[in-house]
Amino acid sequence: MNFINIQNQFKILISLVIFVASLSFAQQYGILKGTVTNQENKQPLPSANLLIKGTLIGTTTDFNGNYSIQKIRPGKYILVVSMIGFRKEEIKEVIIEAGKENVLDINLEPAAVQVGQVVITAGKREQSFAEVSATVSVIDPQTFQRRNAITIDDALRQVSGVSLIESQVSIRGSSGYSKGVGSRTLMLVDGIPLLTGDTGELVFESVPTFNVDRIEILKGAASALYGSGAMGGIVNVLTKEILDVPTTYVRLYGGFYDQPYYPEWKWSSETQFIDGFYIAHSQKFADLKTLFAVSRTEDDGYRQNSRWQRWNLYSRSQYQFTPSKNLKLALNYLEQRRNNFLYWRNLDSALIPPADQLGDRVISKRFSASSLFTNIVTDRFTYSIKGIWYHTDWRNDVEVMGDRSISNFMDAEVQFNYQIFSDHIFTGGVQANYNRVRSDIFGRRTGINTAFYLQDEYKMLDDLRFTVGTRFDYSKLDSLKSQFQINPKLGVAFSNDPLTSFRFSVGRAFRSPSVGEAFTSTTASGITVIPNPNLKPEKSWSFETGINQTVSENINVDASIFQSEYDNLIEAKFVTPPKAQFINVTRARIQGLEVSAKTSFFEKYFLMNLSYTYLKPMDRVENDILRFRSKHLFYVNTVMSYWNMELGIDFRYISRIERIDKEFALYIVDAEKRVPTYVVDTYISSIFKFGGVPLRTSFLIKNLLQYNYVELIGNIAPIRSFTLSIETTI
Amino acid sequence: MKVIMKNLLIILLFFLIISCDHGLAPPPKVKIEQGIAGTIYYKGKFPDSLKEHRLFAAKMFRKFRSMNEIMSLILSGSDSIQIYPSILQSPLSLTKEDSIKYKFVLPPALYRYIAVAQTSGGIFDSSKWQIVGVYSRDTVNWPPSQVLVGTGYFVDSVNITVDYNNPPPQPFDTSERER
Repeated sequence: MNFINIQNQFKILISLVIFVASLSFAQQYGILKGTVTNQENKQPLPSANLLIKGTLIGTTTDFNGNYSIQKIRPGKYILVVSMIGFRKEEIKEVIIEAGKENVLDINLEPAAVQVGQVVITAGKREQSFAEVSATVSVIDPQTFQRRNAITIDDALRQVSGVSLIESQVSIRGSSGYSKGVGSRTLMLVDGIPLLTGDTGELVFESVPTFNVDRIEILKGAASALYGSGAMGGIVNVLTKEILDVPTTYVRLYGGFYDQPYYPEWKWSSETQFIDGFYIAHSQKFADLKTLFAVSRTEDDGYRQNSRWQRWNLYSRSQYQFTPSKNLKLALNYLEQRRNNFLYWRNLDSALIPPADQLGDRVISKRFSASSLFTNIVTDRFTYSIKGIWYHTDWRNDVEVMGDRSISNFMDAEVQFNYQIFSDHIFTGGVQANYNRVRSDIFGRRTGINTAFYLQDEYKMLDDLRFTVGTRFDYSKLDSLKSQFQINPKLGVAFSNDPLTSFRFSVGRAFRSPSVGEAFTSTTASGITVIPNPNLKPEKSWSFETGINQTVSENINVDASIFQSEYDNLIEAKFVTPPKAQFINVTRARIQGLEVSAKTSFFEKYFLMNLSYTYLKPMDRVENDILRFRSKHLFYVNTVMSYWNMELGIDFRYISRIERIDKEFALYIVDAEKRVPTYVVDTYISSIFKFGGVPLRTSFLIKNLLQYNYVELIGNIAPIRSFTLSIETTI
Repeated sequence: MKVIMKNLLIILLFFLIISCDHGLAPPPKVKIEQGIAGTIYYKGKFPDSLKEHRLFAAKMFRKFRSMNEIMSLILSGSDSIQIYPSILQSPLSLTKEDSIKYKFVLPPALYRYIAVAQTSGGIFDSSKWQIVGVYSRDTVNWPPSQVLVGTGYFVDSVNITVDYNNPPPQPFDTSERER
């Protein structure tokens, strides 16, 4: 496989696009437009999703609740309208006449329980929940505002089945702790991968939270569409549409950490502050919409030597060539200075690092440029071309060693959705990426990956859909042996009434080693990591089956059981202490069940979401529980609303991590000191007008009850903090 | 519906109560003491000019060449020899009682030589110091018996007889007494 083959694949795809596009020229189309409003207060609803059932086309409403769907074949359709917080509407008998603007205004009724949204991550196209054969959770933007989420991981911590060890995301126990390199969760921004080229990790700081419309978390293997990394699942961050009217957004926040609960842990007589601001402005110039944003955030840290500062410049442009052709460009620059707290001195001095870590810091600069071109050729054929260049440059221990790593990751993908017959929708594409690393720690490395994929969604009956697909990946990472992967999947979605849906899926996934895992050569805190030129990809087979049932107006329940078989899992091991190496260490099986419920009481004034996940993550070689996994996750989120006020209480319980690296623990005093996690966060949020300007204020107390726990051994998780946030959009 | 809500609130309340525990905590600062305890018996006539009278426990025995060496170890703060009461406190038994009970806090170790020393001169005048009693388990004053002090407990009945009519051999003046 080489670039000539990629070019050939690309030519074939373009030919296909042109062929299908030519078929559509003879057609006459109609347009559907109108306004979506809140039934209760008649206010327009921005960001509502509209989808013409049985076709590939849909849209979202603008700031004024207006929508316009182009290129609809004449006929009779069902229009699906959904929005978080409102009851999904299926409007039947929508008649589209050729060459006409057909107007349809829609009222959405606020919903007690939020179900039936539209998601796009599972199938790389807009689908309603009932059509999806895998479990998807959605975080809405209000969650960020209420919780003053500075990075998206703040919101991920409350998602059912998801747990984090520092910034490493584990979906249904797929990941343990891999020292910050490699991730079994793939992060996407608007469907474009965003993993660092050198360490292959998620960098949450690179995603500006003020611009997030929603986050979809797809659980389970997804390599059949997304390739390497999507073993445990996907976190897909979807950004907001830029509004037509000039809009300025300002957000200020400030707060501080409380004193440690135990006086023995107090390490400074000064208060440790948290503060930041975001300013964004967007405007429309003819067919070009642009947004520019700047933010600065800062955190003194609740531990000694854990301070950080960030500057972020962000710009996004959206050019509308025609109503059906759209180009989005995003530029993002992040500069961060962060002290390095690796682990505590001991439990007696839990907020102080060992003396040799004092002063350690990392300076990182990250830049990304991404583009997304979409073209709705007909109501049955759409395609998109997307690409990203992600540049990272970091150096650590600046004053002492000056280790530096520069990576450039480039990814390009052409994707199409084609509804050949009324009951078959094909999704396919080609993808290629190139990775180049220049590093004191990882050496000079390059890697390539090329892939093509094809998936067919077959609507056998109105209520029954089958999804069959596969993806072929070829990867070559520097001197590692080249790899060829085939990852098939099968999915079934069945919904015999609007209140019940069943799902089943089985699929294979893989993850290629990151540069960091294969080629790290460094010594830190007494541990020497050596390269492994024989590292192989991880592989897995996963299956799940689940049911979603709306029990009553006020209760929706979702339940699933799942199992994954992993082979060649990569973990850092001490080969000859203190020398450690990333090696294909084990086979594993993770079984579990997940139950979640959305409830509302007192006419929506009291909402409560609960979720429980049971995991049995077993190392099949050592016949013991996998390292850095918990067996039980239980989350409760409550929101009480009255007038323009909201009071929220979030609770999360994660059972004690039962097993850690014993050798790793030799280097950390009191490494065995771990407890279950019981954390309560609370906030009070209010919307009001001040001098005619709409303001939203939130007062947040994190870790209300000052519970001290570790996510990672030797690292006390954040202690109680108080934050006040004020934001406005004018 | 009310029943469901009631149950949900009970669940939430249960976990909130659990959260009131504060999780990890610094290790408790428990005072762990160990050492030796016993009685010092006095026989004969107390010297009139007694200025200092102290019990000491030494980890080393054979290395002592003179009382100067013991004194220099005590004064240097070395943990190879411990003195009771400490230099800053009043000496033992200047009231000339027949016996006195003691409880001597010591670091965990094997103590090879536990004895009572006294002087009629100043505390830093090593030429006047003299051994007047030695802990010997089965006999009186000689040979010295060793005592193993473990963490967290006191070794009882480390009794010593100070017989002014029959003082023990001084361990510093002849090499044959050293083992």
